Amino acid sequence: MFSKRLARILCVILFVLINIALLSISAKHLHRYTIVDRVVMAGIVPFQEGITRTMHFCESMWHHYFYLVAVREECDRLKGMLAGAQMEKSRYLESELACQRLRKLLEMKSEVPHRMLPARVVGLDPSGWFKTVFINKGTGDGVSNGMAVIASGGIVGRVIGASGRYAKVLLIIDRSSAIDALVQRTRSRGIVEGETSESCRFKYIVRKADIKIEDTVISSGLDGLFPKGLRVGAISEISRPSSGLFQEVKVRPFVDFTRLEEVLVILE
Amino acid sequence: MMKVSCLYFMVGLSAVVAQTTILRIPLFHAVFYDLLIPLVVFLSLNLPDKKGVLVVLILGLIMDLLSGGIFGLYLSIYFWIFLWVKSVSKYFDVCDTIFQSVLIGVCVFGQHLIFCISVAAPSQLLAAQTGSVLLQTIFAALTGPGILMLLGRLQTRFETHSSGTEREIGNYVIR
Repeated sequence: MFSKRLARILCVILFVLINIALLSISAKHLHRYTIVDRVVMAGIVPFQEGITRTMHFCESMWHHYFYLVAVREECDRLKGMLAGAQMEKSRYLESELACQRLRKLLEMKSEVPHRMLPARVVGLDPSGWFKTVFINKGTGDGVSNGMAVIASGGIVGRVIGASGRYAKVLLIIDRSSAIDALVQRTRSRGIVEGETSESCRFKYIVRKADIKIEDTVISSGLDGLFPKGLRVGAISEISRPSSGLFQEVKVRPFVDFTRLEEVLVILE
Repeated sequence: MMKVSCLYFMVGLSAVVAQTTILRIPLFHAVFYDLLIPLVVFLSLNLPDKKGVLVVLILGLIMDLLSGGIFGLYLSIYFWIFLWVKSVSKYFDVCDTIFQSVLIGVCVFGQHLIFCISVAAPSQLLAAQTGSVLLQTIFAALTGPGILMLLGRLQTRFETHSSGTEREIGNYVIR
């Protein structure tokens, strides 16, 4: 009566309807936990767990051991970067310090009404007994013998020899150096002579002269070498011997000669 | 032999540059002595009179030009060390390390003594320098023989290299 084709179609429709009906019934009993569920769970989940644990183990191995090679490489790279950054920081710090020193020199340059030439200290005296330094400016730059050399703190010394590109400067702390100077507060005159690396002698200060510790000593300008008013140092020690015409006075130079790097040569 | 003189002249110049720059920083200043003294001692012991004295005088002249002291001071000191060591070496075994040590120590101390006299150092300066002088003398006595040995090896190597053969260099006292 029915063709085979029609019978198949009817069967499919029937199955679909049965399926929908079953799904509807199942939907009504949602989350129902049957024995089948338990069996399946008991049979399958341990394997799942095993596989998952293995995967985690492998993942952990990878991250904690094999992947550490990459971490090590990254660590080395970061260490290199850190060292580079520290070097750079050191360079910046050095530049900043140089900037501060040069700023002080510039301030000094604007205070002293003379034509000045900046120079860098490039060498020191080979012996500890004599106090000279070499600067990187010479006759080619207009430097000649007798010119005064100053730094941000005060007087450094005078040029005692110059070649085309370099000059030798006798520091005020050398035994053979002498500056005509006066005490800024009382105008008492004397001669500042080199003694040791830390102090100079302030000679020919008469006994009655009023001077105190920490009084500033400046150049008098009468020696024809150093312009008047340049700072030399501060009085650090005064003694009045029972006999004699003069006081024994020591002056601590304002310039730190152990850290002398940049100076100014007074060209006029 | 001219090459050897040039070699020592270059070594001396390097020492001069080092001790007017890096060795003058406060860290080394108190300890490092005049490095040309072991060189002068070595030249006195190993080079013929004329060649040796020529190198010594040139190096002394350079040091005098760089120094703020009396001109001719270094030149005189090196010259007299050269002559003194030459005469002393006739009576003592110059290969003996203790002798070399004493020799260099005495030379360094003598140099300081002459400097001290030349600047007419007052008591304050003397007091400031005494520690440094003693340290330098001791350091010179300790390291001087080593420097002499290095210079001897340098000369042997230089001679071997310049002759192009592995022949034995037999004329040098210190190797």
